[in-house]
Amino acid sequence: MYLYLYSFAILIFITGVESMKSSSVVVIGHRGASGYLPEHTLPAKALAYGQGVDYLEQDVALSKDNIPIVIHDIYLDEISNVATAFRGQNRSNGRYYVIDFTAAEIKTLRASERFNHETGKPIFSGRFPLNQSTFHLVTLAEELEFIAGLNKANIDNNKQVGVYVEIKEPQFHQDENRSNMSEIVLDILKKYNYTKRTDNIYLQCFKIEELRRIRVELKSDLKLIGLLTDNKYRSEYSKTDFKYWTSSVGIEEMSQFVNGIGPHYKQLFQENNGLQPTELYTAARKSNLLIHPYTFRSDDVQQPFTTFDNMLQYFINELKIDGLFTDQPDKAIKYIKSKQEQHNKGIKLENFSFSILIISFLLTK
Amino acid sequence: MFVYMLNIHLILIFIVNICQGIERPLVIGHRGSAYLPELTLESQSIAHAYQADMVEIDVCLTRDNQLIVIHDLYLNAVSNVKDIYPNRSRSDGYHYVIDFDLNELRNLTIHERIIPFTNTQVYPARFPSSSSIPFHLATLNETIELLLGLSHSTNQQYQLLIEIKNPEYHSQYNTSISSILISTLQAYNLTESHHPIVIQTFHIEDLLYIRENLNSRLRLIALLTWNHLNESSSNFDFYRSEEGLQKLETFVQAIAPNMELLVNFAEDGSIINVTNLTVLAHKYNLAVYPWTFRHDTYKGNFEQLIDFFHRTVQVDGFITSQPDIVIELLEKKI
Repeated sequence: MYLYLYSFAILIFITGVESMKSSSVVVIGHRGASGYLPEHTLPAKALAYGQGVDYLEQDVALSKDNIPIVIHDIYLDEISNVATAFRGQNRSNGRYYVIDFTAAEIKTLRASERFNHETGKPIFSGRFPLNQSTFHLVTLAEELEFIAGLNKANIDNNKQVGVYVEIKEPQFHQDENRSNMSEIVLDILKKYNYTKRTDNIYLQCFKIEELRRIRVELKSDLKLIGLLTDNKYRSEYSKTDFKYWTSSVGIEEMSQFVNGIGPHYKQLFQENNGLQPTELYTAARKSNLLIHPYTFRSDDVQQPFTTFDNMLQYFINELKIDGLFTDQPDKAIKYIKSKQEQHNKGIKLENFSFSILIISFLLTK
Repeated sequence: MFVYMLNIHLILIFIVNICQGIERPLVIGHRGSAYLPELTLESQSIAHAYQADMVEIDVCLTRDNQLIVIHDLYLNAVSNVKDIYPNRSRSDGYHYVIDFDLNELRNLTIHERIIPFTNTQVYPARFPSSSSIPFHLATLNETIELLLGLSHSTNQQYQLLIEIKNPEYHSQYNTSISSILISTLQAYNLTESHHPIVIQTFHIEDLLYIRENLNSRLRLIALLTWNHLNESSSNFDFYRSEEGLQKLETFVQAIAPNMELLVNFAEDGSIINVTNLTVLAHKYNLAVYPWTFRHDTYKGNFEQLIDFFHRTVQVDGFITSQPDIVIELLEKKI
């Protein structure tokens, strides 16, 4: 009799411990639901919104007339038909630059799934087919209005989605005489009521020095995220030293003006008798920085992970990251929800077991 | 004894999980969904995100015989046509789709529905109609390509319910909109009953034409309403009768009636009684898909409305502008 009681007590204890592990990780639709529809198009953003993301991501680069366009590259030739629509208007390196075209011209282009500008072949096989349906590029202002409209239409459903803006290549833009790129972006954000740290927005950038300028000189109160990479992968225009900024000293300095880091997920762990967190991870935690790694792609799961779920399990349940960028928000959300359900069932089982324990205790009296 | 009760509990959890796999009625996203301007590719995308079983769209013809996705025969409720083409309206003040070529319509910006010639939004709680976002008029081809491309990239099947708007009006212009639709679909190899396309219209005789003269194998649905509304010349009194339903069974798979043909509502939105139309339709193997369930304008308790149509009227699906809400309600009940 007592053996049963004790085993139940242990069962309750185990389920109790298990049920503590729930997460509140935020899901950021990376360029929208770009795993399914052409990146940074409004349908891709609508799809991500409907799939239940917490944030929609906007990369911005300036057009010739200084209008922030929602686009990942400073080039137009891998996500649009610019090479045929404006044949010959490339630079000497063969590339077509966003900054060489006005917003009006850019809006006439047909946007598409990403392809290699030399071969014409899609970068990700299995995604939305090239040359199907019709998509367009939009300005930052248009996308912010889009999200505001969707949020308004969803007020009764309690579905409010935030924005996650990346200022692309400030160094390149400075070289093109647009050192006020951040000011232009902040102005537009202000027009849409995104100014305070309590607003539903993150502002991110790879140029850490620019984030410091935004915080200290421009006195912005917005939540800032320091994007991190490895020096060997940084853009050709970047002068930022990521070796420094990913060190403990660098993280500590960064924590004075940012609210979190956006590292590549590979920068957070090392393989050393299993998977261990890196110095970067530990330093970020020590400085109370949010950790929002990129990019979780279910169609590009790499070693040591074998499935998307086990990749998510490591980052969400082991490392307990605060947010993640994903091209397939529905899959990330499904994983998170299934963990939540297990957690709820764990609680139910725990409660049930507890009442059994009480009843059995009373019965044995 | 505890082990016994624990086992009972685990069996219960198991049963609940199985029950959640039971099929629910179909949920069809009306014009995509309520959350974005109707029928745009964006509205269709969000309906697909909500896992609507089908997205319902309407098609009309342009002057150059292209099928575009729009509900009205005119452009004034959803576009800036009067600003772009001020001199192209008819004497009634409206700009008609059939008076424009497709490339002209591509210059228009689409917005959330307004009452024409006013600034009044028809559904005030929805996406702001005054927005300057360049939503575009979608063509049927773009819509099909979105559907097929999304099916490919998500590895899931999405379906399209295409309503042919006013075939008899279109035949005044010497075009058979039904024929153009069938050949457009054929170009995408969409011809069989298992293909993700279903066609509906108020002109029942056009459905018969599609089935018998055009030899289409696609699934067809008969839209039903009241004769006095003049949606078409079809005799809906006949098609709602037992004899009519028996005839419909020979060439369509389902009926899509106004929901007020299935139940009688009181002033306050509560339901008084059920008509016999659903039972009769089921007798003749016709599925029943009533329209339109709008959460933002229904006066009564929406949850009770859905529950009633589901469990008492026993319809086979819901045509709704809020597919996410209806799906959640249906899955909760199981």
